[in-house]
Amino acid sequence: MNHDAARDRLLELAYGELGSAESRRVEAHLRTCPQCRAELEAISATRTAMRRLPPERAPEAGERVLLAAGREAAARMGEARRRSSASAWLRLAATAALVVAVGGTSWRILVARRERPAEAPIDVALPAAPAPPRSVPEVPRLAEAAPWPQAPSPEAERRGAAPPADRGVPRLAARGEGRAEAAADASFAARAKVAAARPAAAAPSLAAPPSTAATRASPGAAAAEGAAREVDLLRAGGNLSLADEQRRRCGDAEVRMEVWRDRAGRARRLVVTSSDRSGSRRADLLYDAGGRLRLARVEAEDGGGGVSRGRIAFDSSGSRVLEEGAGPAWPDAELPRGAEAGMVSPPCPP
Amino acid sequence: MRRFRQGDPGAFETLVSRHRAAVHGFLVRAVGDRARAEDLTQEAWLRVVSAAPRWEERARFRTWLFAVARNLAVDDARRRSIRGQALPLDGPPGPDGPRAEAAAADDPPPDSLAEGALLRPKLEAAIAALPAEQREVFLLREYADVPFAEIAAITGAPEPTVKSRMRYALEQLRRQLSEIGLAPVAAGRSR
Repeated sequence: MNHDAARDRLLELAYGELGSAESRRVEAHLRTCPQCRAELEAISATRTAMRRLPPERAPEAGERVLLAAGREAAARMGEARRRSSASAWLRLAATAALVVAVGGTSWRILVARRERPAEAPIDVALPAAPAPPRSVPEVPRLAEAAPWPQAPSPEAERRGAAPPADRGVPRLAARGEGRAEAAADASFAARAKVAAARPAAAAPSLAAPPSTAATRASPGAAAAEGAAREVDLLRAGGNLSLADEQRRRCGDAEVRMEVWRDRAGRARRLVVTSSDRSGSRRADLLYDAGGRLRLARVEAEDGGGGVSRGRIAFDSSGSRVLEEGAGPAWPDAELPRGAEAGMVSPPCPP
Repeated sequence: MRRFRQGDPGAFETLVSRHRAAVHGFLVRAVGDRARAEDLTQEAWLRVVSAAPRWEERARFRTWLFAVARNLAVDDARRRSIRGQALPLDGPPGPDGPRAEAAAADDPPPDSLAEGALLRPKLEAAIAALPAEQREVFLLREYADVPFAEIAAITGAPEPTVKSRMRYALEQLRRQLSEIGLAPVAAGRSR
């Protein structure tokens, strides 16, 4: 392998993408080429240094909603699959019935023609004919053996009738996987809407709150969790969108606020992030349909990557009814009780 | 993904537990903002859920997932630039300017740095200072372990271009690391 060819493969060698034969050829060249050796060492040294960056921890917030959405989608897809399988069996059964019926009739006619004396009625000849393939009576059994689809529930019908939701879907460049760019799953969005419209207690399948002692003990906290869950469901169903973003300076800190609105235009979520040299603070504030703050998911990060997370729940009058998780204090000034009032200007951290 | 499509709820949980941290890590470093990355991570997974019924096994799931995440990051950057905000992919602004500059200058020598805590912002700043198209290639190859050919599929760039971006990214990182005393010197590829 000549110098240029070997040099072009150093990157793949460093990342283990070469086959063993080609690796051996490049390595043979490296033994005789100090320039390529130096280049490979530079790649390796840079990689080693960059690998000292600690991995990011996945945020816990949102995982429950996500897993619940996955479970619901799996249930729907499983049901669709069973239905599809059942209808395939039905088609097969119907085809078999038709074939058997036609075959049996043809056989009868054939036998009748063969054995019928010139003047004898067909009925007389039939008992003498060999038994035709057991046909019509067998068909129901064949059909019964197949799984029978359940009649669609009214809710399933509603889902089927829902218009496609206008949500973006993944695209994969260059190889035509863009087919997946079709409109997003309308049934998921519709189901999330239906679930969101139910009272919290009737929709336990999505994002049930953690059964903390505090939550169980306090009806106010449970109500707050229910209201927050409704916002999560709106978001999971694509019915909450980022409507505005504001920034301001508070001394050394930069504070950013996102306003998320539901389809009725009500602010249901504010995300306030402030950061300065010493770290960052983030409050994810969820509001009920009346614009009252019900749950704050708070997170503080020190400059070294240490993160503390917590939750603060509020009753409908704005009093704190639950505080969970360690971390710095979150004064009321940082947790605007009314969504619209909070949008006037991002609050400054203390 | 096949099992998830067949209605196995555990399969989705497996996908999430296997890939969620990697996607989140990619997005944090691609958009340079943890809060935005958290939202985009959630968005990416919700898109996986909604697209699952139409999923066709034409690429590795992980490749497709990173394509989703990468497209979200690109769209997010575009939205922000339209709104007239600084492009987050060019590095989040700090009180005294871009984090890359803040981290590169006037800081204590590396000997005195505690491993991890103080190193992290410097390495993140070095990544944030990369041009966006080099940064995404570096992040996908180095931390997400996506092969070059699949990065080409994800980004829509030809594979030789992807490798070229990777070389430039590594060279720039090496220069930055050596400026702050974190990387051994070795001659880079001359151009």
